[in-house]
Amino acid sequence: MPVTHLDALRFELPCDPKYLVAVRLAVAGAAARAGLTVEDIHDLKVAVCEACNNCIEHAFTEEERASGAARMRITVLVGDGEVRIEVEDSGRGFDPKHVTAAVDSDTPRTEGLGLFVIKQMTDQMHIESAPGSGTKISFVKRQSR
Amino acid sequence: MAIHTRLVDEWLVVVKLAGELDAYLAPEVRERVEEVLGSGAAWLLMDLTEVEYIDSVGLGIMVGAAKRANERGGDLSIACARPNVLRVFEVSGTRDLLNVFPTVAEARAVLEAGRARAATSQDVEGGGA
Repeated sequence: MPVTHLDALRFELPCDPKYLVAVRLAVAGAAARAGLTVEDIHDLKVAVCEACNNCIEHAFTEEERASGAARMRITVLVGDGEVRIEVEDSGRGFDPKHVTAAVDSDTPRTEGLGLFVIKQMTDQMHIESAPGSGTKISFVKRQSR
Repeated sequence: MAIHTRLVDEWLVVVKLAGELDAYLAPEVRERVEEVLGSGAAWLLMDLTEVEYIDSVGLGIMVGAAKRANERGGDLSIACARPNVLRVFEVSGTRDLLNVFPTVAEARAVLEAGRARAATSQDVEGGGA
């Protein structure tokens, strides 16, 4: 049954790691409102930062970052007992097939480690991306029972 | 991020970090670890008992430092007791690789044992030459 979302937070930030602490704080607040446990909240903070790290490191060129054109959009949907997060950019994108092996592996690899960690720490993860078309990484964390 | 390094017994470098090790603070930590490794250190104990957050960027620094230490015949270990930080090592499969222990004493003991093994191995090689 689809979850009714109580709140939706949407914010757009420069692709700059100095904003990661603010992202973690916002996500922790939203996750507490959804009734997630302290452990779930820690997992979600790591997962959202991994998605942002991916955007900061890979989505844009140095020139785009320097000009301020490199931005990431974060959507946090707060439901009863679950949080859904989307981290989106309009950067260079990639073929998701290239990270399938790293993400779906039973054992972590150096390449794609951040995406592997998101998958391990959340209940559902999805990557939408194509070369030249940006990237959207979405994931859901449900309340532990 | 607070970073303190100290040399113990003239062979072990303890790097103590406190705060949140994310992509923003990682360059500062990476630079300090590079300095330590650049000075010739081969045995590193990363004291993360006061680190409140880590992700794959911080893990990358630890894995890189461990590799460098191994290349020069030494090793790296980590002291970390916070469940949320330990979970990142577990989930990423790096807990054993990076010698993660809950206390500084245990993390030091594994390096002492490694150093003793390395010394024995050198003696054997020397004796056979």
